[in-house]
Amino acid sequence: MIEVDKLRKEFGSLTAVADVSFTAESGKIFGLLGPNGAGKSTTIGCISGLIKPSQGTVRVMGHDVLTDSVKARQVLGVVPQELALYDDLSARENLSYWGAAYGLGGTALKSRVQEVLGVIGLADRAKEAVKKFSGGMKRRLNFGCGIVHGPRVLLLDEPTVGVDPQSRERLLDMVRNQARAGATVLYTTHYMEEAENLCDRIAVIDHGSVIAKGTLSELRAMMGERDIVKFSGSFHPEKTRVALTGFDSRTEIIHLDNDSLHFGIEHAARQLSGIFALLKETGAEIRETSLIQPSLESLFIKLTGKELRE
Amino acid sequence: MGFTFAVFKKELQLRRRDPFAFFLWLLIPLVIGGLITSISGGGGGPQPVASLLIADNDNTFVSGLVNTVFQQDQFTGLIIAETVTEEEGRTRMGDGGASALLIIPRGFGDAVINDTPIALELLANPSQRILPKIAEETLGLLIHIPFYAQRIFGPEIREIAAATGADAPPGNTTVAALSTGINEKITKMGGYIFPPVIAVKIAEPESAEKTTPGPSFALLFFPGILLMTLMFFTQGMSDSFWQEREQRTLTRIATAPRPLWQMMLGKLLAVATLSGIAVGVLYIPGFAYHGLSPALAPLSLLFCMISGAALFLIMSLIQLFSPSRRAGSLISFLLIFPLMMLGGSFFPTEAMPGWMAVIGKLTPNGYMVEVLKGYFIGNTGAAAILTATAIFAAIALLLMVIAGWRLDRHFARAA
Repeated sequence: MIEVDKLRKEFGSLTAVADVSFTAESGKIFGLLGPNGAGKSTTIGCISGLIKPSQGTVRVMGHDVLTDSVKARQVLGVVPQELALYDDLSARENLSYWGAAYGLGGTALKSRVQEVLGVIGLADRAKEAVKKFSGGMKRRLNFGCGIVHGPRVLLLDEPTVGVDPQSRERLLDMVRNQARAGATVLYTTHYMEEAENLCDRIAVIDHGSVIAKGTLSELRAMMGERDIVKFSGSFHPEKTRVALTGFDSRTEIIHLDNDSLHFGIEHAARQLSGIFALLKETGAEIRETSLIQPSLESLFIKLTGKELRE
Repeated sequence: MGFTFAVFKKELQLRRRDPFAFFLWLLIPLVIGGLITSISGGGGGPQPVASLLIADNDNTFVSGLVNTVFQQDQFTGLIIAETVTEEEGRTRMGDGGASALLIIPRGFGDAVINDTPIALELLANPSQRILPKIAEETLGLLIHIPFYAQRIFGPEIREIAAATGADAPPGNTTVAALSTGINEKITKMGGYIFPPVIAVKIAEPESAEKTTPGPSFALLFFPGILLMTLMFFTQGMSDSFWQEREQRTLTRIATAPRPLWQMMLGKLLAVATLSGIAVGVLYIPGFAYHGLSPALAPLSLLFCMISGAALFLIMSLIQLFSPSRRAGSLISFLLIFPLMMLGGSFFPTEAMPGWMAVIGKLTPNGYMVEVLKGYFIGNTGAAAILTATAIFAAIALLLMVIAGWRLDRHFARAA
């Protein structure tokens, strides 16, 4: 279990993490979803003991990461965003090294290394130097190094960045298996689909703050049944606002300026022709249109006014 | 300590996968050292000696004198003369077995006595450049002796030769007349050819020690080469912190429960081991060339291993306190070249101006060089090198605490 309470980290005048609180439970996958620079890696850094928080507390399996750091780290496994491997060593040598870093030794280390080589599908390439591996194989080994000591809490910081679809699916399966085996998994990503498919609970984070959290269904409920419609072109903001509100009182304008219009509306596909006509009456010129059905991405747009990948 | 051993093993595995770098660490000091020793004239090894074969076809009193001259003490160490037959001499020259062959022709003695022209034949070995020249120059000097003797004592020489060739020995009157004549000529020329006599008093040094030849330049330089190797090697190894930081393994290890000083200790043990291997490899030709006793190897090797560890920590501190990898590399290179120059790795302190030698001996590597030098040439014993080893082990321990603290608190977390 991971308990994060009012976690805050400031780097000079920059607040990287602002009063973040959440609890990740054993046997579950907790997702931290947010764009690049949202504060996900800083949060992971504070939990892993790499970064000292400015305020707040972090407990891992009941151990405070600051005051009881050795015990907290002993149960943690970290899979960093970047590959953290020795390219000149073999897969087996890398796993043995990282296992020893967590106190494994002797036959226990050897058998565990062999087991993990099987889990990550590299048993037949165990003696090869890592520098000869493909990107996907390196990613799997990077994951293997994080679980070689059998951690009860696993932190994964965007482990699928730059991975081909096949390897990504394999990695996600391995993450699920860790949770099924009882580990607490904290998974950060900026891929909405990953969070939706993988995580039991999700916290949406932006500018260092958690802006929404809950199960996927709870988050969808926050969005309601509304689709997000995005127009770009030229608009008269005031006329547009009045017209849209008159068209459907449940319409929620998310963003409106001279060049773009984002709003939430139920059953958007059925109403698009009417909306086009309405906007034409206000003198708007529409150059591009897109429709986003209820999802984490539409929720993110609703909450922040921008897309997850912006 | 399991993690320390894992780091130690990992470092050795990484070096084994990159043998070229290790080879370069050995090669660069050897090349630099070899060049400098050559430029400085070496001083070690046996002095070249010309092997001169003399074929005396004349077999007279005069030709025997030529033969005898080359056997004089003044020429030993420069020329080794050996009397052979002309046939044997030519065969050996054909096989390249001598520097030169001097053939004294039949009638040489008569020609010298009668002051008539005659030529000595000197065959030089074409595969040698310097040694035959030594024989030729020496012979050129000798030719002047009979020339001037002929000018001054010509009549007396001819009379002696005639007397030695006669059936009966010369009578007392003849001998007395020759002696008187020679004595008169010497007395007349005495004022011109004899320089003023200066009495030389040979003073024994106060210490009873016998003067023995000092150590060669190459031997004085040998510890400097060893330290140069250690300096290059430890500088290269200290860069591994930046390498680990850039490949994120350092950040990852900082999230593990083992304290980072264990990692530092593992690296340190690997550096000490590799220092021992590097120095050990250099010992084989070095000890053989300088004729050093193998009994000197164990303690000096231990000293080099501890010195390597201490130098590694100095280099590591430079890296750990540098703002970037490039800065760390620049600073350490800016430091090690003057240190090597002052510390006797480019020139022995014996070849330096006094003030520079004093400073050089105070540098860490200079001190290490002096300790090794003293042990190799026999000025100091086991106690001195063991004391120095203990001093550097204590320094290494202190530096490791600082480096471990810096690594854990700042360097590993700054990525």
